[in-house]
Amino acid sequence: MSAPAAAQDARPPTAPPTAPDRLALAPPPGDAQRAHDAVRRALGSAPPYPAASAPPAPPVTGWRLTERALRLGTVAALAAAAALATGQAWLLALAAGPAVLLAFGAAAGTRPTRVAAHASTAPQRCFEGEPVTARIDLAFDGLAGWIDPAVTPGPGVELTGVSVHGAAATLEFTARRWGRWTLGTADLDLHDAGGLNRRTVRVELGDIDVYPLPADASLTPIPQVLPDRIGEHSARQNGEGFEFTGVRPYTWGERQRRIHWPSTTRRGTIQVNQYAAQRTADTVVLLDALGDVRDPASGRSSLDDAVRATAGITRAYLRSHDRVGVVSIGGKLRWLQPGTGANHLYRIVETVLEVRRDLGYAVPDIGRVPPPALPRGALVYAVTPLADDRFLDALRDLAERGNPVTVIEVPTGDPSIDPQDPASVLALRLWRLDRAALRYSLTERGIPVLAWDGQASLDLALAPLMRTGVRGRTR
Amino acid sequence: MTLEQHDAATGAPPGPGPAAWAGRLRDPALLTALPLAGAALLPFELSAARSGNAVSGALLALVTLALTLWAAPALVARPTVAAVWSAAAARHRNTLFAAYCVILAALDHPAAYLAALDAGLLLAYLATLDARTAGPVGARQARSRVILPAAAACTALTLAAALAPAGSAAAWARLAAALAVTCAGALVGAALWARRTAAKAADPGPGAPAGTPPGARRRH
Repeated sequence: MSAPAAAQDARPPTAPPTAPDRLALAPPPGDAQRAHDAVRRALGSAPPYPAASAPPAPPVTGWRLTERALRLGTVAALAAAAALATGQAWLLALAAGPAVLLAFGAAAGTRPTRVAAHASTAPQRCFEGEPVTARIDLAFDGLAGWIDPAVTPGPGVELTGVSVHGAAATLEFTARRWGRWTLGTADLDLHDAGGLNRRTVRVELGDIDVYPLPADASLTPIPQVLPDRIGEHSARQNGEGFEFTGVRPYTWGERQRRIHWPSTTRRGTIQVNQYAAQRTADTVVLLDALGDVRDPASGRSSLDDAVRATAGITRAYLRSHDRVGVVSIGGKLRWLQPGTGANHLYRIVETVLEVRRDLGYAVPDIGRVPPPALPRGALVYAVTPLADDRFLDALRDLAERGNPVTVIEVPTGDPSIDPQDPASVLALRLWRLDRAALRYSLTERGIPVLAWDGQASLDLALAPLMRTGVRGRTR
Repeated sequence: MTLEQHDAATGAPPGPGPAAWAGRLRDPALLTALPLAGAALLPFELSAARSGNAVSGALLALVTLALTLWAAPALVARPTVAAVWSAAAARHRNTLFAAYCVILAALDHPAAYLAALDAGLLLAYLATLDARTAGPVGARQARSRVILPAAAACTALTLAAALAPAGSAAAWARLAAALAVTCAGALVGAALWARRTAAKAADPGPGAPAGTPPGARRRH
């Protein structure tokens, strides 16, 4: 019998963990070895990580003999048969010991007749690298001698601990990869008190949302033209901000505290300070989910890096109280219109959580994105490995709309070749030239291409945009 | 924690390296199994040496040694469903080894001391396997002051009865028969006592929650 996973904690995590938060005190060596052995036993022959995404075959239902009962019964029966066949009575002594052990096992008590299991998972939302705990409570009548769990973890999690206390089994997981994953399946073997029979109960552990760790970013480049809303960025227009831009003659009605006395004394007329307007920025992150390119050398996933970059850019702009939206172009076009606030980061991340499942070959139509999701003049970050021409077409469409577009190129690595093969070396050189030509063509269209290595801070890639505002195409 | 690839079956370190073999050679079940295999093989080897058939004796010794090293270490991995016979044999190799020892012992007529050695070592091997592979049930059996002594007594009693000359009417034969009856009665009584205690423990009483957790057992 299985029970659906109960929702215990549906709140989003409070904050992405930092490196010191993820450090754990090392347990004593003996405890660590025991925990390791328990995990190995629970995993059985399954690969530790990444685990297969396919669920295991359904278990055998009903009670059946344990390995111990088979072993003792086989030895006892074989020794008795050998005694009868060979006429050597002493062989019965070999059967006597196992038979007594079987008798004591059979006399140990009644086995459970009704078994029910219930699984609960906490938390149901977490960031990469954080622990997730699944607790399975068994309810049964009669006596049980041993609860022996076997676990088939889901594809994005790793089993790190197994413990059984009383009638409850606790499974510790670590979320390894962002996405919406199933925690996996647990098969609990319930042994009777004598250890002669066992019965398997299957429990589905439920789903969790694993949020990506945002890439480190704090810079917030802005477009040259900002919308007419009060914010934290200094615009080119004059206004009531805080950044000093110059002095100008006094006009009637202006505040006296703005008078710039040195200029007034020098020019003989009243001069006042002039400030830049403080404006907010609209930013939209365009996520390339058309494919997932794996670096042949490091094994890094371009989609993982793209989503981390998206989360990092989103977090940086939300900290500046800007409005941020997201459009993911993949098998299914998803968008979320710009918004602000701490919780908007989680809304954006949840929007892109399922893009890994949607990798497909549908041609995106950027025209399907409603105007509120892609405001006119909004700064667009296109996070892409530049590996799909369809995404480049979408970029060109976007640039023709007049939006300032910036490409954040996530790494894909060079194709692996045989260095001894001259044709392969030439092909690699041609491939690199083709990539350089692609970047040049985008730059020529007014779309700057910034390379990010996937590991360093995004600020290093975004720094060139801080010198001047990002310029959009003029109609 | 990134898990390493290990041999999940025996609990030994990974791979066929020296560390893995050292781990297997330190297995308590193997330390019991090696003398068991030797004791079961010795009568056949002696017969082969007497008959001048040294080749078959050496061949059987090699086969026994190889089978012991492969199949005797305790298999602590969780049982799985094996689809092919080779996987099933690997899954049940501890049972195969014990059965092989029984067959090996039945090939010849051993001396009384070798028969006693066979019976004792086989029981010790099975008890060691239970302690290592049967979880809390095996651990409780290993700690019990009733179960293993009762099994050993029953084995000794059966062996004594089997090796006693049946045609003798001497006084010691009657004494042995009386002791056999007494021991059998004591064993039946112990089993009944254990059953009654288990039934009491299984009754949670009115209002008690369903499910008796493992570990809250009585000791035999």
